[in-house]
Amino acid sequence: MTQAHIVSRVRVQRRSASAWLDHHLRWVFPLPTVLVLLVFTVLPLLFNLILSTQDRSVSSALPSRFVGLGNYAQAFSDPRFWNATWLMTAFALIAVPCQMLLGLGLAALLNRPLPIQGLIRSLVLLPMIATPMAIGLIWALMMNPDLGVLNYLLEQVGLPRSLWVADPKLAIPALALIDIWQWTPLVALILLAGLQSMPEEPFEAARIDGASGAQVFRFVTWPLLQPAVFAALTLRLIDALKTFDIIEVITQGGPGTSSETLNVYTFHTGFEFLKVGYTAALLTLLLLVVGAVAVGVNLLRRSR
Amino acid sequence: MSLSRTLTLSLVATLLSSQALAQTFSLEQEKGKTIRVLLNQHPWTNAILPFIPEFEKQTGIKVVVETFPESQFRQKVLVELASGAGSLDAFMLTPNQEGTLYSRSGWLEPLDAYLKNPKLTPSSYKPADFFNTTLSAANIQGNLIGLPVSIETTVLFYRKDLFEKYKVSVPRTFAQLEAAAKVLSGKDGAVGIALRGKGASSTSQFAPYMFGYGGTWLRDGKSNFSAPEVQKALGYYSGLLRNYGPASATSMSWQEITSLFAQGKVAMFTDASIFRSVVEDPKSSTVVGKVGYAPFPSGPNGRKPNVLTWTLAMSKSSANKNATWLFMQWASNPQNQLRALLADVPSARRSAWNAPAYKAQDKNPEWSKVNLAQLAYANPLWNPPVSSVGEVRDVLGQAIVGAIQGGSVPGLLERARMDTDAIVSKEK
Repeated sequence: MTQAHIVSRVRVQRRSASAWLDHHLRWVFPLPTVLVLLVFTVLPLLFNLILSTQDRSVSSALPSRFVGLGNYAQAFSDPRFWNATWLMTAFALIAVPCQMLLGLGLAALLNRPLPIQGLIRSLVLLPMIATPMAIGLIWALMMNPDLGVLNYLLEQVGLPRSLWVADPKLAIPALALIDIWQWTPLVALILLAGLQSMPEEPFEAARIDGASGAQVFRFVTWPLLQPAVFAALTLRLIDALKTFDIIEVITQGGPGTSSETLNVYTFHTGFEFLKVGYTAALLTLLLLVVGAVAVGVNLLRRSR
Repeated sequence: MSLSRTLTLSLVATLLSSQALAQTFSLEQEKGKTIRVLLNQHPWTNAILPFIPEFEKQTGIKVVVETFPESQFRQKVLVELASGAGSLDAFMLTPNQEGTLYSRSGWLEPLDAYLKNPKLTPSSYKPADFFNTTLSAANIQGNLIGLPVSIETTVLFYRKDLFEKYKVSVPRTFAQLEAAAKVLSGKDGAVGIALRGKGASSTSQFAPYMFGYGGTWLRDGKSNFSAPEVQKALGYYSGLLRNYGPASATSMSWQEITSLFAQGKVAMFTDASIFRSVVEDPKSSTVVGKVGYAPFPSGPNGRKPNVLTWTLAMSKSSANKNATWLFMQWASNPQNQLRALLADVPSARRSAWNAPAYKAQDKNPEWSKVNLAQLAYANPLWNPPVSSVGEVRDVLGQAIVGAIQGGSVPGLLERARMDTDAIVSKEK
């Protein structure tokens, strides 16, 4: 074999490798992402599904056997599962609409030219960037019925003291209040982006036709804002349904089970009761609920 | 002394010394080994950490210590033991919390043989020096599974100034406790009494009342929660909180209670003696120097305070068991137990409490006296003796919350009994 021969063979090989790459580029580029998704999302999900069919604990000292759909049947007859599902729903139904309304107002406000706009926008974002653990601890302190600043403020304006999260009936609304404080800025930010990306022409046309401010909002701004509204709504609904950190830090689901949402309940069945199989089933159900809500919101958006 | 007796004595002495030669305790026998130890961020850990280099120097064993806050610590130990990876050697353990489960799972190395082996344990170790209550706590299913390093016992914390001002004497019985709570309730901006009411966390501090009334966790391997004694205890406990306790009782565990007490808003509470450091902390407490300590009051069945024992346990899958043991026995030996007590960490050894060095620096002899007295008779069962401790605590915790909220005590306890039986009957 001559030297030239070898060189040309290598060239051919190189060319064919790059040709192969060119040809399969649409598979090669997403490959790392696909692998990561497979390892960190799909496999654990499958493993979770398998676990959910077993009555299994962390230890051989506790029973471990295949129960099929037994864990799911157990969940449907478990009053604490229904309580948790209801509390999860209630939490989201209080928090998300308030966040959407307040977020819209805040976005409209930030959309106007303000004197110290940059500073105001940064301040508004603060709750969102703070660590949830720290937020939980600070709010727990502020809501402390005996030592907290909130009751002090209530008394200053002549209102009766409240038990806040220590009151079984108030626990979920009080926790939702924290969620509203924390996540309204995100909604505002998304809606503000929506407002600022709107074309000028429809507004001009509306003004020329003599539309009032309310009419402009109802017939121009609101329809144009729909994509941003649905994006914010989807994000917040999913997050609100699976809220965990602030609840676990502040009440651990208490008093009793009056703020034990589904995600908090699964944490307790998993890490305190060590019922791995049952926890896997509860998590699958939580995933189904959250997934159904996300799909539902998406369908609603398309139907418009 | 007769000749034959002298002969016998010298013979015995020779025999003993030859045996001693064959099996001498040597600090350096495991030189060069490395052990990994998981510790809870507990006052005891803070007290012993500065002395670990001394152990490393004496023995040539390298000790790798990792510490975590309590809840993460417990989860970390559980995960490491369950995974069976041999990298964990020793760890802190409260036997009455996880001991039964870990022991039944075969994750713990039984320690009796190490303790009896003179090659591994010097005679100066003196196991008899431990309070019986702490050693019995560390005995699960007939095996010693941990060496006691620190204890906590339920005592009555009370505000001396309020008691004096309103002429209340220190309660010695449940009836007197209730009477004192009644008198002091609402006085000087304080509630009469505070006790844990936050679900599962309250069960361990409800236990002294339950045992004081003659109740028990289990009877013949089944839940005893619907027994009339337990009903009376829960009626009394929830009544105290409803009538004379803080409004937010059902969301209060020791963190909330001690901080409320430190702010001067509680006349008295019963909880673990170790919280003296919280209520007497000049940086955060307004009642420093005004706190009195009394033995847990007695009920119809006598005085039944808890004793919680922190121990050092060994992982069954440890690859360096003898080196690990050397560390464990060193950390719990009389000298180091005294060092811990000198740092105000309640000791599991009688000799530490009686040591002149401690008596000379004792900042609160009243507190020491109460601890010392109670350790002789306190009840090690602050948790139910089952594998599923967390689940049973949660079940009883729900009944306690329900009772404080005014629910029917017999009904709540009957449900707790059924739920507990369902949990316990599944255990192997």
